[in-house]
Amino acid sequence: MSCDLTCIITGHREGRLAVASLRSFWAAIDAARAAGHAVEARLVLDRPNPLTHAVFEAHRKDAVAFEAYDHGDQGKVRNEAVAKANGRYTAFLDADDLWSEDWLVQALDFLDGAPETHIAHPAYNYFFEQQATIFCHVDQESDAFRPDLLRIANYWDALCVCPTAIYHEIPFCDRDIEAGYAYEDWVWNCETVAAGKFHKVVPESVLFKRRQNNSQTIRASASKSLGRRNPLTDYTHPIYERSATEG
Amino acid sequence: MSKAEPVNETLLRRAFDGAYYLSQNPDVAIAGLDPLDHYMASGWREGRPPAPWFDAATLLSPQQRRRTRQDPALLVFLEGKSADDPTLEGRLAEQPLGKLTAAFDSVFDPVSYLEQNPDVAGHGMDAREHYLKAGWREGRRAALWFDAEQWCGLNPDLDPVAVNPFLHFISHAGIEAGGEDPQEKWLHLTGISAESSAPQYVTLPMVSTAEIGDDEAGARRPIVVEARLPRSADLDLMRAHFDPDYYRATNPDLPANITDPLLHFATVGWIEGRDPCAEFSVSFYLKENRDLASNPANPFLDFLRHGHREHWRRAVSVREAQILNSFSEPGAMKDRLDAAKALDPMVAMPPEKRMTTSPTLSAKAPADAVEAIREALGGRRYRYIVAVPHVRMSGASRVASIFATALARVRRPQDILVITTDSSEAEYIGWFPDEIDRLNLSTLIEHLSEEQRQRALIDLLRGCGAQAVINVNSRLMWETLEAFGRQLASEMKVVTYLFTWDETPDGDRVGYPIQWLRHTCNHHHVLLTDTKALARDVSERFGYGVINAEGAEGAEVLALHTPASDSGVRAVVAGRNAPKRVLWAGRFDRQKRVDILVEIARANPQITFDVYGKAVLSEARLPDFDPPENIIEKGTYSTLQEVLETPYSAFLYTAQWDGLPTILLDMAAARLPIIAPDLGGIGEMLDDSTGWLIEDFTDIDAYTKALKQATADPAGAREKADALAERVAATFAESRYEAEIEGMLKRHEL
Repeated sequence: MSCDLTCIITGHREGRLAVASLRSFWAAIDAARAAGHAVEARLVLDRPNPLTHAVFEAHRKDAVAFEAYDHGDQGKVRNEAVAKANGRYTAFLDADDLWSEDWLVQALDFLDGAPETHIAHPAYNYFFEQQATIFCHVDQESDAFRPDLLRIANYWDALCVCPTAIYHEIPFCDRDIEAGYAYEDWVWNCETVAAGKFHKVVPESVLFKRRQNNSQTIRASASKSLGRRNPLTDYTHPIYERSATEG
Repeated sequence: MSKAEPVNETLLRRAFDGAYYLSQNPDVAIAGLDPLDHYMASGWREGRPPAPWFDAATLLSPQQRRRTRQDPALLVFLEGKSADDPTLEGRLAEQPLGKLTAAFDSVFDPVSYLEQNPDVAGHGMDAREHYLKAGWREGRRAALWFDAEQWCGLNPDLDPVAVNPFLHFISHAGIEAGGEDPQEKWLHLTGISAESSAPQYVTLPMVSTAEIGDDEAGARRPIVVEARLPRSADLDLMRAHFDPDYYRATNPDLPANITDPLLHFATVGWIEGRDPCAEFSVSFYLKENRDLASNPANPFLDFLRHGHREHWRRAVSVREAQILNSFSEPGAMKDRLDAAKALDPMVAMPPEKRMTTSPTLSAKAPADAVEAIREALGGRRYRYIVAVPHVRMSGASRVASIFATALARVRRPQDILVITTDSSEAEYIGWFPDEIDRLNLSTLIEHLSEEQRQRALIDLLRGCGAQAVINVNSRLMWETLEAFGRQLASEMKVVTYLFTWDETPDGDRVGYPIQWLRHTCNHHHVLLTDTKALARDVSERFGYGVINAEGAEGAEVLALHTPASDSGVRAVVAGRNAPKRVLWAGRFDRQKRVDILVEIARANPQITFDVYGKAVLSEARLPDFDPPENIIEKGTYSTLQEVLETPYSAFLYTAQWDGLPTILLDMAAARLPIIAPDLGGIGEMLDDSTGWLIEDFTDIDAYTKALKQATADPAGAREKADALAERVAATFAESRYEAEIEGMLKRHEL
């Protein structure tokens, strides 16, 4: 790996909403660099409209990559982008959300010296615009974590800082809304937990998530989507024996 | 128009009947709420009468009734009335018990009672309830100045064991709520001063100078209130939700000699901002509900009494308060939020009170359910899941058990799991072989929402490695297939058992083979039917087996004749000279057309019709159909043997729509000649050589002709019955049923 961290922002049709996201993206990268971390930035688009393309172009700065895909699938785009990542860790941002300026520094400090199986999530997702909630992430090693709950509800979203090797080992699955399958980030969480990774929470950290009426999550819920079958959906997975023993 | 006089509080208290209100509203009584407070806060909106004589609809004018949308109805009624209003007085006078109760409540001092009786306080009992139930007999004082012994001495007729002396005093002294001072009455009647009769006791002032909350300007301020011992009812209310362990753990500074943490919290603890349990933050409640600041009452008590029903109030857990405060009070989290708002002011939107969310709480109920399901299955894997709504007396339950039994013969029983999905009725669970595992899913998921139940079912199907789900009338399975059928059909084989539809009174077809199949028609791999007629019907309507496309092969439609079990019972067919007697047995429900049976009986007065059965889907009784005298109601039967001990000429069947009723298979096996209409699959067993098949189910003449033949020629009828028994034995054989299932499983690689 040639740097500490790869930062990937993915855009679609966010248009001018992406301006604030890109500004937060670069501000967090600048803060991480100022703290002594080597950081590369990758700007990635998937079927963008011209305005979103132009907004990304205007915020290209020193990004090592500016790529546009034609997948229409967030999981595939992330997989392809992370395949070229040079950082030991990779951090994702969606082009309508905002990082805290010190998020990357907090996460890298938290992961410093931690096992390679640890994935860092912010303590809170602060939802805004159409939703006034603060989503509290749960530390997988805390008493609040239940593998049975993870089968039917998602504990963590995809905007984490994760060892790049984990993304290579466990890529995101394909989305297929027409066939009724979505929630690739939730399935990835299940697959990583099943594979022995640990989703950890960085204390006192927050990301800002824009919730619009047409968000993918809302669309997936309305269209009666399911996550794909994964190792955790099988009742005989050893994790349930462990939780029974611990319980 | 002049403004009406405001309602005098005394008048309001006299008109309001607290005892009546509590007796009519047990939820208020149980919650320990003040009845008048409750009525004024919300009871009037909920239409709860404030007194037995008060009927808002008749006592208020239309104008006044409109006002009651803004004010308690009783206030509107009392507006401008005086306390000596004869109308009101008259009505109140009709309520002596209410008056006595109100007078008692105006005199009885629960705080003083608890102070005098620490044993009562210590056990958390309600002072009023304790005094009225036991305290007066134990010589405890209702008021410090009232001495029961002295009152009894002045009233030698009073039996102090049978009659409460204090209530006797209130009644005989004419004490009224809000009336003359009762102590003065006491002095006047007894000549004993209150001071001389009162016991000595010491009040312990409990005052806190702790800082709490902040004022409008945001400054911390000291609060000094007179802390009094709370009422027992209030202590009881709080005790139900108070967590003493949490209180001690989070307040290590508490003196070690505190014996009751709740008393500490209820007196000074809340003033010092201490929290009663993890689920309630005192400081947050006070901060978010500033209207309470002017009335320094215990916020936890306020929440338990009223606040939890007042949708504008905000109460959060201690943890939530910490999180929310971290974003609103100076510190790193607020700095991060402010920076985000600077980047995009929309971060402050929507302008609503923010709340925290976590799957730990929001998904707890479904997580508990799927955990219970997983644990119930104990790590066992099942290839075949047979889903049934319940196991009660029904054709579907019976067929499900026959199918599961056959499946267990052609595959391994340990690979099969039977789940009951819609209700826990399992009266006939013995129909299923013991070696097949069963799970009462309905009880594990009954508290979940509809979609959560569907997702729990999918979790089970995935969790135990199901390769096929066989649905035998499970409503939950049909609903799940409607919502998530495209995914399920891609993950496992969906086999669906169909039985005949229902018909509306207008004769329109409804039910699983109609609208439910229409909504799920692309998600079934196999449709099993109990008759060829139904198989033909669904194939024609949906083009199954004819119209296919890549990725949408269409369901295989397979008619499976349910095997007839020969119980060994044989009917005694009535001879030519025997009394002419015909058997009818079935449900008195609309489908079975008892009215047609009655018409047939009227047309054949020479024949006696023994009728067994009852209504299942309705309340209908046989007399409702005005049966003639030659119809004999026989009730229900438990065994076919007891019915067929009577010689009959034939079994008569009537219906408007049908599949293949099992009663016909039973009668065929018993070799009783059958007369039945050509409905559903009946024609697949019955024809002219095996019985009498009536083309038009309403054709009374055709039934009559068949009955005449059957009764006139018993030998011929017996011949037909024997032929039918042979046909049924061949067509409805278990071996044939199992072979059909085996073939279906192989074709679908199951």
